[in-house]
Amino acid sequence: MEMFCVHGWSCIWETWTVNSLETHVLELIGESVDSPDVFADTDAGMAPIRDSINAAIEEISMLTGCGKRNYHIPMKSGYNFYTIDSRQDEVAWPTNIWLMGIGRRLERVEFRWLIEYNPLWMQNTGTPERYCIIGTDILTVHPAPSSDTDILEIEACVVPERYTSDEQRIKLRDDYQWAAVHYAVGEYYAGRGDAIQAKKFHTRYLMKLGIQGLYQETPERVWAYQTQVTQ
Amino acid sequence: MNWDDQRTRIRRFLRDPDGNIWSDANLLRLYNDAQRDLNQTISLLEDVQAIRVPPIYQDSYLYEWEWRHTRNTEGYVYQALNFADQSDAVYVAMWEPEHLAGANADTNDPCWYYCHPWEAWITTRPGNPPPVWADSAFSDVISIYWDKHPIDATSKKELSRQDRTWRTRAGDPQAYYRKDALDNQIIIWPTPTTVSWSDITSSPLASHAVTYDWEEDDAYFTGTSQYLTVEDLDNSRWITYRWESQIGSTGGVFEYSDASSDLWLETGADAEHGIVLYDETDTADFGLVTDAGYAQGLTGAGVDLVAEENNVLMVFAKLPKDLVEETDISDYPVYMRKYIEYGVLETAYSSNTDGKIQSLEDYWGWRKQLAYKALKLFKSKKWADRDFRFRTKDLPARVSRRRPRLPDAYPAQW
Repeated sequence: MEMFCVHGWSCIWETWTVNSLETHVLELIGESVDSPDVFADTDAGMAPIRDSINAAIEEISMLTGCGKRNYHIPMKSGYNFYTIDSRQDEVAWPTNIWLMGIGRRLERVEFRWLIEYNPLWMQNTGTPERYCIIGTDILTVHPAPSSDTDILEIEACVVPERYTSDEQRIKLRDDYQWAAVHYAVGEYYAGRGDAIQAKKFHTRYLMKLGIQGLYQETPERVWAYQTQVTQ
Repeated sequence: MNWDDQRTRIRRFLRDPDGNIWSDANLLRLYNDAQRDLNQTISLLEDVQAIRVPPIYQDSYLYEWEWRHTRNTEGYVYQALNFADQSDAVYVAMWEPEHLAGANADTNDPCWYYCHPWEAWITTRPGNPPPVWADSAFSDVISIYWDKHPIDATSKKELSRQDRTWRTRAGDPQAYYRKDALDNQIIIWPTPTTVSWSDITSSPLASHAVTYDWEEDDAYFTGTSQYLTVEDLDNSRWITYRWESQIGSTGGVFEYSDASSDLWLETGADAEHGIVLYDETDTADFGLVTDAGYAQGLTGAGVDLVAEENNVLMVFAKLPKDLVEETDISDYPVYMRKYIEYGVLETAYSSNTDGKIQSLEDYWGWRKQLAYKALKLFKSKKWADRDFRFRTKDLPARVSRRRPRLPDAYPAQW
């Protein structure tokens, strides 16, 4: 099993690799790194650990929006609805949509706002001015383009597609990769039936992710600003 | 990632790889249950679909007992005509129950009745407003349009109060109502008069149908023919349905409700016999129009386009479709499917089996609650591109309600 430095913040070439993450998981669960007996040093043997690391990457990306991609969709005259069918990574949410030919940023609105703003919105054609997202992957533009001659550039936070081999890139910030390791260790213990250890490591994952606020221990407390005159 | 992949992962966490405690069927039910639970809590799924008007062929039936013989698992089926409970008979025109009851049958009912909803658009005056069907995953309407014009929600009560000709009125659709919450039938009022027949791309099975084998001879009709009947060798006759052969063999004592599923004519190795108008492939997502041709050849982000002209276009919240086969894929994106598994694991560990373990039930329940919170955060993140602005109450609202309406003084009052 190929080894990489796990402390290499200052080493440019010693970046985290798949192997290093998986190696760290093996160390934490007490598996031999040099000759593992439960998880074989093959793609198939490492699949359960890879599955857990992938799940962590997906969740971290979904919550932090740490990775972005650009997608380009050619406009079709008269059509309002476009399904974003990602072939690489999954679109989580758009952060900017740019109409290339005109050079205009589209305004993000809510669909329910749009139908209140103009109930006859589907009758309008022209240069798209705004967009909304229906569900997880349907892009709606208004007005509908009046010609086939423009392209939308969609910048979006993405959830990376799952890696399946140790040669693929891990699309996760370095400081989140530690968290992913603990996520995988927690799932290993869950698979062994050790709920206490599983919960302990998953809690570490949450701590390392730095979003404990989301999982606060006293969620019933309501925080609010208050002026002196407010009772 | 299909159900087979997810089931393997679930079994790993259950430590039951061979299904000694939790069967595959049990896990599938738990999965479909967990999908609904996630949907009710987070409600992320929405869709846009054009619904073909008129709807294309689908199974119709008359009596309740016939329902189980229809292909109701493949799409919607339609209970045609009218059922009279008093006489336990199906009738066509409204004067018939009077006749069956022994009274003078003098109710005037100059309408056409139909067996398949699309036939209503062939007639000039359908007796009942024909329904169209929303997608089987339909949950709630967000917005609905006819030919790109919005149509409003109403009720049959409201319509019948305002328009005594509501059953037969035709014109430009203004409103819609739902029959009930059981079937996803949508009735559009008035019944649209301008419909498109050209978006049906079905290939007919044959140019004509034959009853007897001698009719196949090209001397009668040229072209490909299809049998409408099957030969009953035991009774030396031709019959439409195979169960009809039992009438001859049992001396006429036969309950129609005993009929097996031999009711439909299909192509290929599973050929049955019966009556069908269109190719069986039309039953897949029937009624929905999607023009996916534009997506072909594209790489990266592809697009599906829907044809909304002279059709109903609906934006709706949808339910996750239940998985059935190992190759079925959840409606949720790949990165959310693990959260469904958490629900499966929690319920599996809590069910009263040999595998019940309280600590693991609590652990997966905790994971599920974390996941739901994460998904709620994710939903708020989807507004990242929104321009938020503060506004005082004295400023005019940015939203202008431009819903068309008649002048306040209309109609004139005296």
